[in-house]
Amino acid sequence: MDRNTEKRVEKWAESYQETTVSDELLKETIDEGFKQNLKRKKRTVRNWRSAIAAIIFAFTFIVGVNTSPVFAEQVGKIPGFEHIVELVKWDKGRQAALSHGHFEEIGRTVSHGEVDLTIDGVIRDQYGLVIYHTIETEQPYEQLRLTDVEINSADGEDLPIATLSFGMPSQQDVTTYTEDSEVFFSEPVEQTEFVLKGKVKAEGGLEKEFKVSFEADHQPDPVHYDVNESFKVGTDDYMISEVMVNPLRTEVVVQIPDDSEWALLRFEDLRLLNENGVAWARIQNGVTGSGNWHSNEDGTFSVFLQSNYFETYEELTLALDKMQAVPVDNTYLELDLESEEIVHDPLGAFEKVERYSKSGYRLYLEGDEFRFGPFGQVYDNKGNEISSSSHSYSRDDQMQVLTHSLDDNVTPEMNPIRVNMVFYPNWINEPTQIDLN
Amino acid sequence: MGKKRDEERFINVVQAFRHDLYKTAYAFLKSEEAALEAVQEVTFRAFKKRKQLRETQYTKTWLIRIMINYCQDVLRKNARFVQTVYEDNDREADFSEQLLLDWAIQELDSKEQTLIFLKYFHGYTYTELSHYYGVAEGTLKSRIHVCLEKLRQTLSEKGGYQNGS
Repeated sequence: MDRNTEKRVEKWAESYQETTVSDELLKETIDEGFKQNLKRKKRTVRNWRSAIAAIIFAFTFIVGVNTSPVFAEQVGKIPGFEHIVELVKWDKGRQAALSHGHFEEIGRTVSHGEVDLTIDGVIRDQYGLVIYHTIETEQPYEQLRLTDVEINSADGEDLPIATLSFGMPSQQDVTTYTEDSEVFFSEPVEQTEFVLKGKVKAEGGLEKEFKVSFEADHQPDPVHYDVNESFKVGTDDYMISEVMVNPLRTEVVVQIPDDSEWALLRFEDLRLLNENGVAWARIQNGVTGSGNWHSNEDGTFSVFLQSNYFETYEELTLALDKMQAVPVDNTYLELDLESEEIVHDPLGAFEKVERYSKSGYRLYLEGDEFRFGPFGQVYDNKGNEISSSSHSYSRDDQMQVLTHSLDDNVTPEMNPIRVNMVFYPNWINEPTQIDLN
Repeated sequence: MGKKRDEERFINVVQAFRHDLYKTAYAFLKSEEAALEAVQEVTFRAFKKRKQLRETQYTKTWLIRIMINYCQDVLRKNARFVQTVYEDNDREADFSEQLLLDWAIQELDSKEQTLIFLKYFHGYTYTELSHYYGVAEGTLKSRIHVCLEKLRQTLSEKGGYQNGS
């Protein structure tokens, strides 16, 4: 044992043993820390969400549940609702919200030349709004859509927007097109008057700007479950700490263990089951709520499921089988674009990297199940950020191809670049069921 | 046990270790304000995670580990700032022994730092640590030895500033 170093360490430790802080102040600080728990719980603010800018995604992965015939029968008869039935067919929660009268009819139309935009109605809770809107044109258009959507509060205050998404363009020539735009907030929103701004666009250069104000005030209270049950991710014990069922979506709060060895990137099949084992709420559209495992400050992140708010059930079970995970500290790739070489790949999943322009590259991957935009922040070899505006997924004959284009050219001296991975093609199977009530 | 009593008991336990938490935070963060903020945040985090603590005899160790993790995060976020401070001092060859040791300990990985803190800062014995980590005393001794060896190397690389014989 190196006694000399040990003595120095002992002296160092001694030098910190005397403190001048007031004991009273220290006691109060601890009480305050405890009160924070109550305060933060009340607000249920998830820190990570305020940190992310508005994330915009289109509904491209529509999977899941079919419309129940009874629902279609009931709601489809209401004039103007036919399109909306079509829109909610993949989301039982939305169907239930409509059936239970939580659709607030708005029916406000703004005309701009030959184009009308109508806000048909809204479903809302304290964390979000789903706005159904219809575009009508005199001439038929392909790729008709409402895009560049912004939602603001009518009182001019900023809304804490966490995610904003709007629908897909029409696939054929149409003169009427109904879609929905969704906005989710990072903390509860009290405002009831909103302004939607957006552009109606279509093929052939149609572009009209719209601004429509509307009111939506229906905000049922959430149902809260304290869970605190653990589940395994590799060697780690992760924990589901709470589940909050809001009308539009269900929030599952996951606690990351201290000194975690595995980064949980994504739940593939997290779902809520009723007493008959039927999945009621599941992850919607392959989007897990944008939180990722290390993006938060208090060691938690949230995953969002469809809501089962309006469903009555006797038992509720949270179930999961499959997750994407990689060893911690390994959630990045290092790529030398000059020599087209993969310098670091945590589990060697990618076959090769190919540069196709001064600022873009393609990654190749075997198999056929990884359809994600996995790219996070990119850095050059000195740690400077390189922003990136787009990525895409395609297939060639044998391989999956992930294309990533950066906003700046990558010069030879910037290599190797580091690309943080939000998703990664490695899966862990760990069937788990947690009873909630 | 009632929820309220459970909460009260928890707060009393954290209160009992308040000075240990504060000292640990201060050793990392070097300001009263930052250390108090850390104590508040760690109380909050520990309360949220309290069900992860399986054996109450390890509450103190558990709290200290949460504190160390928190401080390491804070320092990581402020890395640029801390580095600047050290560089300036370096130029003047004016490291105090305490600062030098701080710096060397922060060069250790997170688990090694925790071990050094528990052993030397909080005075845990090898027997206690061996129960806590669930490994033999000999294994712990050799882990500590590795830590001290790393510290020795880091300290000597820093320019031959040696204290004592």
